[in-house]
Amino acid sequence: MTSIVATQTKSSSLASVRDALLPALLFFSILGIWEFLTWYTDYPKSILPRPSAIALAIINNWSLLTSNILPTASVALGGFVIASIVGLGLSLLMTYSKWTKEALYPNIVGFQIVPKIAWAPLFVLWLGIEFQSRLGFAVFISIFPIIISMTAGLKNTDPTLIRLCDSLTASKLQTLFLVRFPFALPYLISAMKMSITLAMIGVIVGEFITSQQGLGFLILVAFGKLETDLMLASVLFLCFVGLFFYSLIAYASYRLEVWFGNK
Amino acid sequence: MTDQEILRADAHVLADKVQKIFNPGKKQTIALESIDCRVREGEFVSLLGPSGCGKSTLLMMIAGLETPTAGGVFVGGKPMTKPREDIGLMFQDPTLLPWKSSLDNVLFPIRILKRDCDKYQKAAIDLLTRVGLEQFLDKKPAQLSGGMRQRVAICRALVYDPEVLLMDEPFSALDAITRDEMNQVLMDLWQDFKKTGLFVTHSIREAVFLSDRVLVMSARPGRIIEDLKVPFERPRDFSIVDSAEFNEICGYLRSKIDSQH
Ligand SMILES: Nc1ncnc2c1ncn2[C@@H]1O[C@H](COP(=O)(O)OP(=O)(O)O)[C@@H](O)[C@H]1O
Ligand SMILES: [Mg+2]
Repeated sequence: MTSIVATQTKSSSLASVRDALLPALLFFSILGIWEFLTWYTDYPKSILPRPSAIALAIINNWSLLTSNILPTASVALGGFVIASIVGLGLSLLMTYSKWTKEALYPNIVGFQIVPKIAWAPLFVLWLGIEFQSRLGFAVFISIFPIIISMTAGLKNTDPTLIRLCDSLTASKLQTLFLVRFPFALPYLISAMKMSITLAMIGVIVGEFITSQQGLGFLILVAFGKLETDLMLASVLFLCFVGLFFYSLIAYASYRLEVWFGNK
Repeated sequence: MTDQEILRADAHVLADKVQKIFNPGKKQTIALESIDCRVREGEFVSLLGPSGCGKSTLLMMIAGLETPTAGGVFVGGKPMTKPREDIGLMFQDPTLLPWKSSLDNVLFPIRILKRDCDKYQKAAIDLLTRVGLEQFLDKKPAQLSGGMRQRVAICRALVYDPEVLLMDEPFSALDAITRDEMNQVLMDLWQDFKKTGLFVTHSIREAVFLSDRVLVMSARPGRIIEDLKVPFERPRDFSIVDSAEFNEICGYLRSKIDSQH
């Protein structure tokens, strides 16, 4: 029995090493081939700089790049947090008020289909060229998954469990906090994964339009000077910021699984 | 006393000419036409009947979770209009909270009822020990087998000491062996926690083993077509299911159910 358990954990940790190794191997192989080809073909460096040139650009522009992380990351995170709180509030409201739901929900679902990026210039018009317009736009595009998933999550609580609560003369608030909300948490977390990505997109688009700082702004500046290596370096930094946020939420999701006793 | 008062005084649980129609109108479903059912204090009664004949509906009305279209439901002589603390429920699904340990799941009703959890802690542990889960107090539902989960659910239904326990096919989802075990567990618990019980099941054997009285319902709309006393002394051991008398009773009930088709 113990030996079976031992081999299982061993093979599963091997599997997780493989899970991480395979994609990394592919990624670096592509970089290698890319680098290799650029040495043996004749092509304009300004179109596609080789990976080593991007690395060099990162080293040369280190302080420029790092100083532009915060303006982008803070607005994205702020937008995401506001979207999560407001989205949560709206889905609670729709769960407990039938009228609100009937009036609001179809509009939200309908709006969800509209290409929201198209609204970005309007936010600049309404909220100005400072961070407020980018924050507002980030909230606007990242709130939809929160509302939609959370409303579904709160609605999908096992009806038998609700009956049990009712039979125990539980108040609506007790049922909400002790049962409905915890059951909806996995929905919230998976919506958050989507939402943080969208908030990043929102901020970058906002920076393309108006900003004087941030990684999105840096991409535009580098574009203007045709410094493609710096452009790609900025994109890489954006990837890191996105990955960082994503892994925070992935960790929360893991803790949740542990809490549910699934891990 | 009026006739009705006499009727109520004698029955801990009483359904009096109860009718239930879902979605009245064109697409209505008559779940129950006019059903009479009474359970005396401390009595264990089973409801046997085909799927969809309205057993769950009747139980939900007794629990105060549904209102009858006509007729009256009384528990302890008082009409049921909304759920009450003196009535406990068990479902086919254990409906445990996945993020809570066995012990915390058992204490869940105490929290809802805003009673003192510390005071009930010992009672909860005693109950879990009675059903053989003393090693599993801090395990979460995902780490328990189906039978263990349903044991936790029994403890949860008993911990706040309701007077009436309503059980809706609580063992139907379990495999045959676990189900027999659970029957014995419930039988033994019943010796210590004398309650009034109403138990819905599809299993004739289970109904006869557990009950003082078995009621057979007809297909929808449900009516009571048989009311049979079970003569065995309590506490009962599961070995009685092999006796000739036991099987004779089961055979009789089966013929009653089959006469429906
Ligand atoms: N909430 C409801 N709305 C409409 N019809 C219902 C509802 N609940 C039960 N019914 C119908 O009432 C009948 C009896 O259901 P139920 O009491 O669950 O039967 P049983 O528990 O005996 O299998 C079924 O035909 C079922 O479809
Ligand atoms: Mg049923």
